[in-house]
Amino acid sequence: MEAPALDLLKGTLDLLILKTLTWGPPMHGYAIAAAIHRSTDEALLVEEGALYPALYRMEDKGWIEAEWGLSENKRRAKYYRLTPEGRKHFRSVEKSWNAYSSAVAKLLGQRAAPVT
Amino acid sequence: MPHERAWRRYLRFWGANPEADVDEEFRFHLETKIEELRTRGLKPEEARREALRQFGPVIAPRAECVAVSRSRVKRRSRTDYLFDWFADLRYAVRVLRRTKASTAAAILILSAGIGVTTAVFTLLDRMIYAPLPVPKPSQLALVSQWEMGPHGERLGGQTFRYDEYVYLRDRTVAFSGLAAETTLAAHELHGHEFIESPAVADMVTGNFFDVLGVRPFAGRAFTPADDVRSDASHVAVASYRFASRRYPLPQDAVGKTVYLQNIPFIIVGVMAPGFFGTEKGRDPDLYVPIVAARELVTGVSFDAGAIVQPIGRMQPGVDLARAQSNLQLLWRQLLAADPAVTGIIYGEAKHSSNDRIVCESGARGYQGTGGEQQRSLRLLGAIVAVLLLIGCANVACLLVARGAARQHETAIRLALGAGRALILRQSFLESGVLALAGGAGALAVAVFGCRLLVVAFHWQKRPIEVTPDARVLAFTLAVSALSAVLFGLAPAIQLLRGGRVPLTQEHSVAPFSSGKVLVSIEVALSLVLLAGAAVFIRSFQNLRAVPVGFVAENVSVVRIEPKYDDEDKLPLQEVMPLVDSLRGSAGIQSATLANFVVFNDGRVMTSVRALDDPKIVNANDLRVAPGYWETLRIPLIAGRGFTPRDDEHSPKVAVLSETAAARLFPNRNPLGQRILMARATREHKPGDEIAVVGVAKDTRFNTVAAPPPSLVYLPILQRPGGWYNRGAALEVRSPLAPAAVGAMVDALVRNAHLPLKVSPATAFTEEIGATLEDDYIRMQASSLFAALALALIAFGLYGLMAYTVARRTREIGIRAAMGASTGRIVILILRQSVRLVAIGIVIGIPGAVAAIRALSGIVFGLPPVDLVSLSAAAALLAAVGAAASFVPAWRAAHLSPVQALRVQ
Repeated sequence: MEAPALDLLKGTLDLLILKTLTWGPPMHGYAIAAAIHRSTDEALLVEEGALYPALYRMEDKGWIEAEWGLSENKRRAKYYRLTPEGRKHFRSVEKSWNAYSSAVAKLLGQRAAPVT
Repeated sequence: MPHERAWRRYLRFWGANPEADVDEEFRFHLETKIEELRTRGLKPEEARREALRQFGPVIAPRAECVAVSRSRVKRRSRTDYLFDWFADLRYAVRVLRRTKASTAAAILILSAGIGVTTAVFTLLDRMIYAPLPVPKPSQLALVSQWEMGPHGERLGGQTFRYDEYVYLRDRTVAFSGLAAETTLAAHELHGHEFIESPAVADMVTGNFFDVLGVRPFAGRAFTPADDVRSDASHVAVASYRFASRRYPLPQDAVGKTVYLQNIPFIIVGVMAPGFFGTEKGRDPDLYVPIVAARELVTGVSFDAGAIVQPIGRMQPGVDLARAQSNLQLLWRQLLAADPAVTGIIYGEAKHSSNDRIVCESGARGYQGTGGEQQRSLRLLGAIVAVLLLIGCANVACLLVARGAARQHETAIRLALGAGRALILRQSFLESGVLALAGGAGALAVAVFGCRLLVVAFHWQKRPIEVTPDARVLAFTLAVSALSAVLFGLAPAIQLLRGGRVPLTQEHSVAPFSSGKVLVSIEVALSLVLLAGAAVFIRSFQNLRAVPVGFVAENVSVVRIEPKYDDEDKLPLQEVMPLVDSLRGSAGIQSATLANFVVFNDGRVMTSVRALDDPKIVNANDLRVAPGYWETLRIPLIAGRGFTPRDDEHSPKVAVLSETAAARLFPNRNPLGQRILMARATREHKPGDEIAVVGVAKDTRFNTVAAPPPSLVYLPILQRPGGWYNRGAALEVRSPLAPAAVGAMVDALVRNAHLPLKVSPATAFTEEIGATLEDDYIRMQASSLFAALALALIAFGLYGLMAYTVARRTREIGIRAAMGASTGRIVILILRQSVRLVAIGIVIGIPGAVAAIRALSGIVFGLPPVDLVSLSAAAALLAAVGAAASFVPAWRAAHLSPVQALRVQ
């Protein structure tokens, strides 16, 4: 990690988590962290510990739901899954994010890569 | 971490544990990370450090997660709680419906138990407990005056004279208003006109309705102006009940005229519905101004007689003690100011300096029942409460038996992770549903039971509302809830203990010990009920066996009175020939006339003394015609009875009872002695002396239980007036049925055109029986409920034994196969139930002894602790217990061994 990593903008973490969970199967916290890490080409600095309060808050809002299950290494782990409500929320946030980031990109004279 | 996990799961039954959950999640994350890093070749220590670095700070996220999780759990528990309850409720109903027989039995038992309890409570509430339906009833005070004994005990209560009341009313500062009513009522009467259910009128002061705080439904209520005597005082306020009974619409009553004692009263108002005055179990049809008592109350002078009872509304902040001392102070001032102010009742009693004014709470008004009846009612309450306890034990037994059958289900539910709390909740929910269903059934039982009780207490003519009101509903609900806790306890305990049974074991080791405990408790409670019933039955037998001193069998009683209400004297000159011709009729052995029937018509007490002895003896005064002793077969032990010549024109004579003779003339021959009676005992003039011409054997007088009192017989012909009832009673000895005798009297009265009203004839034995009414009700009710208790016991024991036999089928089969005889097997089973009953009896003995001792004051002719009743109760219980378990035992003994062994 020699390149300076970007600090996460406020609210972006929620978006990343939701995006990760849209891929399908329920995931535990560690897997979500790893997926975000991978899919952002390790460009975003996510302190893994910060992931959990975000997960708990979203569970509280009803965007995701959690269930205890057994992990690949046969350990008890908490699995998260997107709720229909969470999916709806993600779509609307995604739309505004795309608008926002393309506006920023236009301002900076670059082509914006859509998040999707 | 098996240790930690067990602990965690345990906690989970009582709710989520956010800290532990977050910790586990974090730990999983870190450990997985460390593992991954190590597969990449890091050393354990490096991997740990790197994992922690990537994770970042731990404390703050953990705290945030816990906080979010906790608030979420709290919110969830609030919304989902209700839903969970609802789901459990549905499950409970489903379980109860699956076991139809035991559910039906339980609901039946509970309906009956709660129902009779509610019925008795309804009557107690209507007659005693319920507050008056007026605003702020707790401010009301009932004012009375009492003659106090040397130790502050109340000797006799007295009412006030009207002027005394006015003195108190005008000067008291403790009351915002002091009203009053008379103790006597006036009756509707209009010439010789026939009136269906004539009105009864109470006489009240003008401020009566104001003090009670009630408003009229129509027209006007009274005002203090109505206390002034004038023609305008001939007004009346009708009760809502009367107004709707008499007129098409209640408000139509206003302006109508009602005749009381032939005096017209104009109805000026109708009271609001629900208002019934100040006495429970009454509802006067009319209220008239108290000054009308001058015309309506005959026999007692309104101005001189103490017939006024005040009821007041205390000023806010004034309590009964202050109100009482205020009135007491005024009372002393009144007596000191005018020593001549002495309340005169019937020319006899006077206020003494020992009289005290007493203020009692008027929140509940005057009690509608007192004395023996009230005692019977309370006793009944105690009996049905015990019965309900037995019923609860029985239902508990049923549920435990069912629970034993459901043990497997419970074990599965526990294994699947249902918490104990959840299972307990389920169990109590089932009990609650049962109790509610029982309570609903109980309301129907209560209405029916209430009607029965009203009949048993002869209250049919009283305006008693038997349909449940809010108070009764609340009572039923509370009793149902309490029952649910009582009978739900045993199954719950069983469930908690049953949870330890391993899943694989089909039958637990000691599944039904609580059933045994319950049956023993039932037996103990039943012993108390049975012993009480035995005491009442024996007491009643004793009462019936008491020699009353005369032969009541084959004596018919026919009451006669003047035909018209405005005549208050019986035409004796015409009645006596009637008695004579009756005496000569076929089938009649003898006939006589008395001014009232001993035992059932009350009594007149008077003072008597010997002419030469100032000592006053209180005696009963009975006026009789010739032939009285002969007709009732009372032996005359000295002298003579009365003859037709003992009339107004001949010297006054009397016959004394033995006791009267012994008291008036100790160690002297009473024959030929002279006595003085009533006022003449204080000052007498010539002609007041009465010669004693005979002495009759003692007889019981107005109750069987009391020893024979002093009794003075006077010739009815000699002193025809001077008794308080207008009528008299023909007493006829004849083997004919009372109805036949009554028809004979009717015919004679009609043929002679006598202006007499003839009441239906009764048997003298019934008249005596009527005085035993309270004892009879107690005997009947206690026996009935003891029988119910026995039925419950039999039912419970039968169920328990049948269950036991079913469980021991295999063992019994082996025994039979090994050659045990039928008798041995029967004894084997019986021994178990006999032991249970015996234990119950032993537990119940102290309670039964206490009950018998408590009842000893109101029963007759029994020792304080009647061992005969106790043993009879115990023996009956043992017999019923044996009989109930004999059927299952017999069935067990006749199982074929092959079949029995095949079980399981």
